[in-house]
Amino acid sequence: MKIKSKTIFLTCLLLLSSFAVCARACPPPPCPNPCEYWGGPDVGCVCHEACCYDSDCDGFFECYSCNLDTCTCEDDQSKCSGCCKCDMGMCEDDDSECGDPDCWNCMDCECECDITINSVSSDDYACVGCDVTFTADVMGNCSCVDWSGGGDPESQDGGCTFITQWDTPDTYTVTATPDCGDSEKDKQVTVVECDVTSADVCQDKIHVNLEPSGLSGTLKLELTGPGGSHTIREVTRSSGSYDETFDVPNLSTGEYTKVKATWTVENSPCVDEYNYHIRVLGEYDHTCYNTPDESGCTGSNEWFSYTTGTCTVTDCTWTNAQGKSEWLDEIEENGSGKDVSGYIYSLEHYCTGNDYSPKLRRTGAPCAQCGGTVSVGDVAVKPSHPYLDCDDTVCVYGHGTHTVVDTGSGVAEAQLDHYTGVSACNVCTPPGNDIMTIKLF
Amino acid sequence: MREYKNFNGGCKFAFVLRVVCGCLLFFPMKVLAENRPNTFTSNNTYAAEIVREEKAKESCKLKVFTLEIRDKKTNEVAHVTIGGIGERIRSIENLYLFENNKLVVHGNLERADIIYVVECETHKVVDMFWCYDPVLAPLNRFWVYEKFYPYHGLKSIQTTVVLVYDMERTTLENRVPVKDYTEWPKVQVGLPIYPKPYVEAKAYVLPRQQQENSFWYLRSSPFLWSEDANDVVFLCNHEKQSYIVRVNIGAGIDKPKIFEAPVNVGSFVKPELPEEYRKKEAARLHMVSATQIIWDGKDHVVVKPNKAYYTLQDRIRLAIP
Repeated sequence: MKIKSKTIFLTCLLLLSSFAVCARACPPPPCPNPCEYWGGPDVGCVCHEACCYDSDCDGFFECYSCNLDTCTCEDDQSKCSGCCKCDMGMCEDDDSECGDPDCWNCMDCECECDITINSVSSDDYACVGCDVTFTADVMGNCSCVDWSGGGDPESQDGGCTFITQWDTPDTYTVTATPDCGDSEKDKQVTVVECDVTSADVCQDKIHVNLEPSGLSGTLKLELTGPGGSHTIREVTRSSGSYDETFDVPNLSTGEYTKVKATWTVENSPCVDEYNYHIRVLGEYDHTCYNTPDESGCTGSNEWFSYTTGTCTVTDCTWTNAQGKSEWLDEIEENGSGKDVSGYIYSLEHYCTGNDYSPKLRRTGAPCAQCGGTVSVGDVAVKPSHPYLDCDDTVCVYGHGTHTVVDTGSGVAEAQLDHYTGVSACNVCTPPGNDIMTIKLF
Repeated sequence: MREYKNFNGGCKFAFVLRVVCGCLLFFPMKVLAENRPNTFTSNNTYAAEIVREEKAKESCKLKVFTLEIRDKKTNEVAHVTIGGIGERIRSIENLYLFENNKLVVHGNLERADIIYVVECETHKVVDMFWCYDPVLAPLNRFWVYEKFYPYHGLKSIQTTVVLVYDMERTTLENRVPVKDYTEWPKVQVGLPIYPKPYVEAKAYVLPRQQQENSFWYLRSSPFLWSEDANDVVFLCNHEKQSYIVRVNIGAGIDKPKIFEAPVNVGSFVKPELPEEYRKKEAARLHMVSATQIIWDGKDHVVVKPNKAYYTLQDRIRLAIP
């Protein structure tokens, strides 16, 4: 076994030595590209300069053309243009563009965009500011379709669909044109606008513009908000400008933040939402109160006592005076009054002593509980009212807007007490009961 | 001459004329009474009704009413006049005649109520006071009401004091002494049973309420008596929170026991509202005012919120504390 192994080892060693000697003796390998020549073992195959380009922009020349005799290194003079394309077999990315294939010796351009546009479709009606999608029915390559006549964007190169929108109402025509051929097609679309330009519940007015002219559709007006929505009405309206009403007497209680108008023309609804924050409080009773004026009262003069102070503070120093009996009576029931000299009195409740009744407090002004003064047209609410506070503004349907400046514990929640100023001997005409009342924000 | 003779001799014409004139004089009183079924009342001894309504001389807004009190046994009739300046009654709401022969006239001011207590035997008005929402207890002894305050003027006085008037007590016994604050005889009537500070002080006014809002209370429902007239139940707002209040007067109106429990108003927001909005409302609402309150079993009441609380359920069931 030892003898056999040794023999095999020697035989292999002999064979390897023979091969090494042979390799050193071989001729240089031929360059496979005919544009190249053998530059020696140190540089290998080298291009003939006439056939060289740094075609991939890597700083080294590459060799092209297979035949030195016919290598012309043409530029892309024969590159196909327009709607035609090269046979890709003849294209190479061989210039400094470094990316787009160029055609060489391109004699057999094939037309790529020989397409037919059969039709263009879209919705017949669209809304201002909304995307409209136009779709071309094309036989051939969609990239060869050019679009024009749009709004924003106005045009588009390529694509079987074109999405655009307009910001003014009108009828527009969008055209699809092929790069080659004459199969141009177009489509009309009417861009509709339903625009709420103003809203004022106290004026009972919602101004709506419906355009363009010549259309007719269903106009739906709603109030929407965090607690739900309320449909004001749904009516047929032609194009034009309208002052719609809120239909205030039939409003549902609730908080609303927008007026929403939907004009539906040929089943295409266009919506506009106008920011308008109100709270429909419901039907409230509206009473009135005043500061009874002694000069408008009757009765004999009677003694009364008063302290002097403010609506919150008094020093409890008593003074006696005389006033008409009816006037003093009014103060007792209603809380305040103005004497013939112009002084304002409220009922005193804290100070002890003195004989005459009623006992009043002379204050600088009527005691408005919100801290300011109370003027004609202002209203008082219940102090614990769930939705009305000092300085809030309310609209009383048919009676304008009013500011909350006063409170009254005896006022009910669904009641507003209107201040009518200093007048007669407590004579005031209340707006009435069950009147729709709305808080304005 | 013949006609003259006949006239003086009691002829038929004269008789008819006298009957007609008599009827015309009597007519307004009777017709008025017949048109006002709630202005008649009687017990075993007396019958009382409003027989005349007139405008007050001092002011056309005010009224003067004439009460006719008839002793059923003797048919003796007496008239009592109520109203006019100082009383300011506008209309009659109801008459009540009690077994102790006290007649109560419940009338209306411009925005509040007026109660007259008349003794039928003496035909005298023994008490008169202004108040809010008086309710007679089932056993016809106690009246519960809210102390009167003017609708406008000083805010600090516009606070709730719940008072009880006992028909078994005398005028004097139905009052607590007035000290440390202004006397107002036509308002300071009844014994305070709520809120606690007024009960403890036995007072109609707390001078501290002038400057401290913590003494401000606002009743927010009608009063509801229990069948045995031992308890009166109502809602009241205090410190921006609604409470269901029960006052037990079983030990006497001098010793009322007050039980209060806060109402979780937010839990009664309508479930059908959008969730986000419902949560917002639930977090915001802590007070409620009710226009009706009724029993629902022995331990619960059902209240109907004022329509201003439109996000709340139509009926709120509350356990009595």
